[in-house]
Amino acid sequence: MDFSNLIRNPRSSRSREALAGYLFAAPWLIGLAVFQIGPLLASFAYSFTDYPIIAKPKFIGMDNYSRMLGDKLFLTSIRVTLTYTVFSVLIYVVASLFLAMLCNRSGQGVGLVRLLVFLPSLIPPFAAAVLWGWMFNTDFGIVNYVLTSIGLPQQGFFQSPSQALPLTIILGFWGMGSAFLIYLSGLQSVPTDLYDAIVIDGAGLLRKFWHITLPMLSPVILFNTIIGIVISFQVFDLAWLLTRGGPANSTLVWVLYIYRTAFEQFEMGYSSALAVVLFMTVALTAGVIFRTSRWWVYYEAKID
Amino acid sequence: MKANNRSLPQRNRNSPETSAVYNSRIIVALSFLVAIIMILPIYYMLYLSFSARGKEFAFPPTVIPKPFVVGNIVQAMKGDTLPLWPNFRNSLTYAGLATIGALLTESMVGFAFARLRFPGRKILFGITVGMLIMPFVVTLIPRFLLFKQFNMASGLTPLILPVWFGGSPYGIFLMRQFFMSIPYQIDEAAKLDGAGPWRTLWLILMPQALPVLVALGMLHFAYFWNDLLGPLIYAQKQDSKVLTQGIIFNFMSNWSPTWNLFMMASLLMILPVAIVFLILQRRFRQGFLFSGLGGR
Repeated sequence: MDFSNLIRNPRSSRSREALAGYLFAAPWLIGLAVFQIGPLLASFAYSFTDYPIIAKPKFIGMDNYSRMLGDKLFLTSIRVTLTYTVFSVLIYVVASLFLAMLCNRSGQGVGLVRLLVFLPSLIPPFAAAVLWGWMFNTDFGIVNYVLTSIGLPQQGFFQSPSQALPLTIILGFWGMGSAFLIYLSGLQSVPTDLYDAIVIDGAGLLRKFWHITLPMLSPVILFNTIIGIVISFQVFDLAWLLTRGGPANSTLVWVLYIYRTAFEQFEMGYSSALAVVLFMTVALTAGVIFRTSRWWVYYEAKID
Repeated sequence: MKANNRSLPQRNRNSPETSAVYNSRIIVALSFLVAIIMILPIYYMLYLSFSARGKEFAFPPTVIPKPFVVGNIVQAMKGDTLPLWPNFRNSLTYAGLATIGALLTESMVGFAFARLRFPGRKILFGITVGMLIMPFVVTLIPRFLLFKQFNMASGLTPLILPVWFGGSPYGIFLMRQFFMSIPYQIDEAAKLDGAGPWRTLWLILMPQALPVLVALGMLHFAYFWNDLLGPLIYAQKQDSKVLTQGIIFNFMSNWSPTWNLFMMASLLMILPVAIVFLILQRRFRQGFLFSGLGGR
């Protein structure tokens, strides 16, 4: 089907192009309104109501928002989420770059190493949770077995309030496949002649990295940082499947708390308010990162 | 486009050849170490998958499970209580149709944002990129209530349908960046030959987009294939349950979970995606390469 034929008598090629533009974008424009903006506005509206799912929503003004300030569990969930986000983004952005640079060469076995680095992120979250749960089981886990057999003390891991969150953060190391892939493609597009030039000047590995790889890669680093922040703020799977937020609420992340208020306490209104604040926090953080990017991101002289 | 900087140090004046060899040895050793660390959970998964029931966590642990039960492969497919084939079919339907819908509409919308001038394009694209940061919980409940109002909140339709309306902001963004990196001259030539935007997109540009479509398609497919929360909310009837639900239902019942079969089933579930990745590995990376994310 050719949509441009539908317009028999176009006033100008410009209006014909505009019409084509709307037609091509139509699926998304509808989807954006119905499945994104609509629900966002609905959430916003519910956030001003008391809405136990069995009864009709009742308008209560700003009550949900003022309730948050005194909600100890909510404040805990913010602290947990921020800690998780800061360290996870570091792993997601820095460790994956390191791995991508290791794998950015040709030679025997590189393809295999790449697959092995990517493979763990394909494990479905529920299977990964079971896997980690058993490996780090306090009494029967293989990790504690190894620790005790080399003379180290047994660890609490997921049963210890001080270890559960750090461990959850570290496990993110096995789930950074997508950042790794994006870096890998970014590294492939750094022109080789830049390296040639600096090597002739006698630069070593570190200077190559600092003066060429890092600036050339900075747009990709920005992209991965933003994506990393967005996924870290929304972490849910592992915390829900592994620890259910415990022990002692030490892994009670924001989305888990939202999920609980919605599907366990059935407080749709309060839960919506929590979701709206989450949305604003993520937007604000991403906005600040974008603002600072002009100082550290290097764009080649290419104008959109 | 091969950026193979490791072969360069031979020309390095300050460091003689030995240092280059030394460096590359360190790198090989490091990658080897990394590969071993990354493979640990997969190895443990394999170990559990081939263990006998009740022997999964035997002390002291052995390097290879004893006894080594190959029959678990068949057992896992059969399922403990219900066969997994219907779940497999549903997963294939969900992930397949959703991926196709996402790729088709993301290409169209990405093309519109990259190539066609229409009023409001810039601001609409800005909103689209803004949607990248929308937390899924924000839309979760209102979306459910919406489908409920139209009596559609059950089955796979509410999971597949939204994807056919533009897929994800991530995909649209990626496709737009890709189309931006193709020279305009190609469109101009097509226009001279009498092709409208519709034919330009499908016949001229899409064949070139194959690598990026493969990459994006893999990411999408893996996401829908592993999705659990969506099906938990919508696909509650037995005949529409997907593989993730089937595996949990069959092997993780509270009173007697069968860990070995659970792991085997999860392993079998990863297998198709991993094989496709291995085959398409080269194209996969190229996809991102051309997307313009690297050089933007």
